[in-house]
Amino acid sequence: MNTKMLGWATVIYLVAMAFYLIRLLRDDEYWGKLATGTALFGLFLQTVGIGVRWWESYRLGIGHAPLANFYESMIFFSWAIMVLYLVMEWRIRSRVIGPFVTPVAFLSMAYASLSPDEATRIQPLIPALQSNWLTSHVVTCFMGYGAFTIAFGLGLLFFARRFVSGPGNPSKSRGSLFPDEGSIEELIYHSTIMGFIFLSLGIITGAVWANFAWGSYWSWDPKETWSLITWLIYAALLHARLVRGWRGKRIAVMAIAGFVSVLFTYLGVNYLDSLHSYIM
Amino acid sequence: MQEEKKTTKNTVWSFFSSVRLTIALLIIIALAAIVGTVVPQQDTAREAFQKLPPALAGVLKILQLSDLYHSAWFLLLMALLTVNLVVCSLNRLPSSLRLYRRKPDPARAGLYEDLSPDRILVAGGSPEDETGKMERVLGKSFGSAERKQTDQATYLWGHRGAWSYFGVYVIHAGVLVIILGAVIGSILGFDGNVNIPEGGSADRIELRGGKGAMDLGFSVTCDKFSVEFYDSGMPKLYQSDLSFLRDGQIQARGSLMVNHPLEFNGISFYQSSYGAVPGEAVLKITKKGEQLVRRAHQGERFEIDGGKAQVEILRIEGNLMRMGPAVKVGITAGDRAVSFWVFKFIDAIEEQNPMISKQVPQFNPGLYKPYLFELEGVESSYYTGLKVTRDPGVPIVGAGAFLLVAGFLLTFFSSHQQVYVRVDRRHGKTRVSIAGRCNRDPVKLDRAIDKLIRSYRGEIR
Repeated sequence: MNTKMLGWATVIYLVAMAFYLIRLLRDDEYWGKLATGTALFGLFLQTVGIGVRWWESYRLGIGHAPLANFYESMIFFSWAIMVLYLVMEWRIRSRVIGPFVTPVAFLSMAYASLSPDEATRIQPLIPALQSNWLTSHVVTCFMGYGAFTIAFGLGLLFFARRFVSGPGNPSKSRGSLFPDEGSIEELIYHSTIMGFIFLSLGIITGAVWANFAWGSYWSWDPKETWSLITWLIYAALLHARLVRGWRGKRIAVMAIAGFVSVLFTYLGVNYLDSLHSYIM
Repeated sequence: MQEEKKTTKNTVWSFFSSVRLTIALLIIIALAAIVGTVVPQQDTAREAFQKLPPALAGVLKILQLSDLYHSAWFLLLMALLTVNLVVCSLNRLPSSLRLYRRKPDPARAGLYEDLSPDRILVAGGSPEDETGKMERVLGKSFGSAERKQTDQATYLWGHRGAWSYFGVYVIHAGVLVIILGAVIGSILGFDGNVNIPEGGSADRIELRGGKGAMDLGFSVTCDKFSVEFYDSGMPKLYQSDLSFLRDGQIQARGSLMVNHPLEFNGISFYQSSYGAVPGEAVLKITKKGEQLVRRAHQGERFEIDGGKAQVEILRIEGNLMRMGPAVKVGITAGDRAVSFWVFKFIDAIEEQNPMISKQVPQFNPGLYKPYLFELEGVESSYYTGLKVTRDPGVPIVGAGAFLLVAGFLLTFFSSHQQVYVRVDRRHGKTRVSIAGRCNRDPVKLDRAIDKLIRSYRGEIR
């Protein structure tokens, strides 16, 4: 039931992604409204799907938030991206980031739906995961990943704009489709702050939990280490911008590099020997 | 000489006060940390390094790559970052203090130029009345308003959130407190493991990283170990019932589960693993018509043949060479000594290798004639794997994390908002001009001023 709904949400995100792209290419807000509507519907379906999955786990007598394995984490990753993106779209009243962010949300869902049946089933929790810290740790981490995904999308947008209209801020021509470089970079900065705070909270909640479960708040486990690496990269970005006055291209490059580190923290670490490996 | 000292000091100070250094250190530490996730660390490193050519292993050893996060050079990088953080913060603190204390002039030139039309209000009352109204409104949402009178106009200045200048210092203090807690923990704390068989006890633990054993000063008994499984075979719950004893007296008891540590005498115990160990072996020993069934632990000795022969259980294996449970017994009778393995599934083994007990005397359960040894079974029992730690740095690290989050809120969600108001007369009417300044988030300030104007208008009507 829940996997079917999540499967439909995947398809709807693909459609939304296409609408966002058409809006960008034809410069027609009609398609933009259609894209937003579709994305909202997909998010609604996904939210209900996650809720149903949660409820079903209680009916099976193994009740827990659906944040306990790799499949569920990818669903939540995509959910976090879409929530943060749609809030941002509403706040800045612009749909221009859509074509760069929705693909990540769609790919995450699509990859999740390729999982073997066994992985999509609701599984009971092993003893290490039976903790109240599970929900707060996973939610904060993935909200952080989501915010960094948006910063990454903005980084791509920055270079897409340069590709279309060259550097600087020409007032007319196709460049006017995009916001000016200063605004894009400002948004990168704000998304990075959001991600940085969530990642910090994720690391802190993880440390508290580890102190209960593993007997140490920090064990230099590869996942812990990679989260610190990601934290350091974004800390460098914030210092470079706030104190050294870095702007534009350099910030966009750092946002993209940071996202590579996020992906490695999330996915790459699973190929290393990790205490977190039960997430796979 | 004096002069020279001073310049050296200045060079060192300016080196550490550079944010370029901060960014470089952040990136270098990140790169070093990446190396540590690829190169095997600590215990796994010892095995992995044996497979490497000695020259390469030697280089890795000199660079301390097998324990990178505790290596001298990594700690040096962290120390540099710490000094950099302290120096940078101290360097910038005076200018933040100046900003915090500053009382700007609300009549200064340029403030009220380029105001958008909705920031310039025309009011009906006298300048004195309108100033009073504005002062009340400003005082309500901005705490207080300061007034300045010139020949041409009356000025007001209200501000809030000036402490947001210090958010960044709170963040940095948080990071420093976390580092302090980690240092205290690594000096005064310890971290080890101990495996206790069910029913057994331990008073020593094995310290992590091959640092030897440590006496606890009391003993821990595992009274009972239980494990439950889901239908899929995944463990559902495992639990050790522990007693803590001193001088043979039980001081405390408790049930230890994953995610639910126990504490005794300032030392924390965590349920970290469990496993099965072969327990008692049940041996059947026969000699024409005589039969003896004997249960024995590893290392136990007993007599047969009316005291003429000594049997010692040398080893008990739950699954020897994938041939099932097996027990190695040694028998001494006078100056004759033999030892051999007794397999539980000897019939099946002989069926596959008919000659085995002839060719390999060690596998012949009838080697000590005329006795025949048979293994009824090996009873396995559980051991519980405990992690044992003491870390006095934990509350300090917690306080640091708290400061870090508080600092984020101060830095990123508050701003120093200043509102300047000029009240003067123009074309025979009272004119109120409102300007705003802030250190970040101008949109939020705009909204605050809109709200200010609305409540001011509310007083007009």
